[in-house]
Amino acid sequence: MRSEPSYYANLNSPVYNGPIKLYHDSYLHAVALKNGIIIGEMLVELDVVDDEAANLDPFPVLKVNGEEAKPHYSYVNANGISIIEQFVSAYEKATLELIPGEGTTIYLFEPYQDIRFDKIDFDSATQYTGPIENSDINAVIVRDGKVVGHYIVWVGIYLD
Amino acid sequence: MKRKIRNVFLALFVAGGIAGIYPSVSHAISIFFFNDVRPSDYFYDAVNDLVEREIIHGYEDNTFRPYQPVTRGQAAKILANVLNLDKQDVEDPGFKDVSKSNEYYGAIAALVKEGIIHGYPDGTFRPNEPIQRNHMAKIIARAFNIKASPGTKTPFTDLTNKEYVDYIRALYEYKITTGTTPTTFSGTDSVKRGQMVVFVYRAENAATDATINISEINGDTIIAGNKEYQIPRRLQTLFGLSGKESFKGATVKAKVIGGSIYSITSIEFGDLEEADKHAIDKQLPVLEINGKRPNGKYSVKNNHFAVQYGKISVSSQDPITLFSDQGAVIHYILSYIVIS
Repeated sequence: MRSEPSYYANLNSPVYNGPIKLYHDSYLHAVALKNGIIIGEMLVELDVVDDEAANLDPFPVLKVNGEEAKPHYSYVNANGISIIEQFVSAYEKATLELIPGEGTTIYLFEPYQDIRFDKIDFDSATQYTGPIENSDINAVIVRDGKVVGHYIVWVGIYLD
Repeated sequence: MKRKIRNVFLALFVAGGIAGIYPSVSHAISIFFFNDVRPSDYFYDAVNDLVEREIIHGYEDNTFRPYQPVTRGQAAKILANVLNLDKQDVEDPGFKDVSKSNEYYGAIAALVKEGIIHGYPDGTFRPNEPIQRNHMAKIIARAFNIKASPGTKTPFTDLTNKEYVDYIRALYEYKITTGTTPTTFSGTDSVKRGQMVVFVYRAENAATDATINISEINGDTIIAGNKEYQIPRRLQTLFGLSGKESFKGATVKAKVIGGSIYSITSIEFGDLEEADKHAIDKQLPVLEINGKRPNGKYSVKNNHFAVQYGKISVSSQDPITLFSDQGAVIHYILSYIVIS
């Protein structure tokens, strides 16, 4: 017998660190763990009534194959850095263009690279200079020499 | 790695064009290639099941070593894992030979707390000694609360120690043991790793599904019409609400062995008293939107409390907050509603 969640959140899901903001209608599923054992879980359906009104500053605007894509949600990580995540999909090819927020620089890291926000290794990053093709995005946003955001895009590509 | 898993979830979700939540979790198919475990081995299914669930592990050289004896400490750890016991929030049982730094301390203490093991009269547990089949029969029977029916007889002619006879009868009745030969149980032999996993696997599979409509709860006993079901200690928190009235008429779906509950699949409550809602909230990831807690429907799912809310309208400017009254770690995931 194991205590398992009824839905999807589990030990591999992100740890909640602070308020979440939603930009799309979503189901939120959470589990509470004590000493590694699930003691409770929660499921809610959240209907975002103004999903076009999100203020994304200082994050970039994303265009996928020329069409703007809205983010799905944002939250704050353990280091107090705002994170935006979004998932996009395209057929056969995805060209991702980022329009940087005013006065910001976008540093791209490897898609699955863990970024230590207490000591970011910018030497392992490349500065965004133009559209990216068929790749997830794992980026740090810098404004006035300060890290102001972590930007994550997951890309799904359909193939015939 | 976390990100990769989430990416796969999302990719599957969007690719499927599903409107709504995923229908169910499909577990990854796991295939284990232990050099010394073959499909023809009687312990093959049990090994794969328990290894997949991370209850027992193989060795780095890709072997399982099924004929290696199991120590009492190892057996305690396996059982504590199977029963999903909290191995950290325990009291020191005070065994002279099990210090708090012993790797099996948490498991041993958790099993003592559950009343499953007691150790030796001289105050030792002897965690490094191989566990005997007699002892294994006793702790399996106690862990799963399996009791023999009055008329159950075994074909074993070597049950000389009366202390263990009823436990072995119980395991025989539920087909958890068939003996070492058709007429012997070999109680003083050590338990091998292959045998250990089979004992546990068969004990878990001896549980059958039951739907119980609660008439009342009396101590650790559920009364359902003319039937009674024992609640093991590890599950009593789920029935420990202040208002026993909350359980009247509640429907419990459970795995039961004999007259004892092994695990809870679900409990659907009727109208809960406020005190009970507060008690359950202490176990949950509690949702707040703009500082307000919505009303939800409470239940028990898979041996823990759960709350489900209906559709709630929010603004993209509303912070969605989660917290735990007990300081528990909260993990979460969002799945997006895709209109296809």
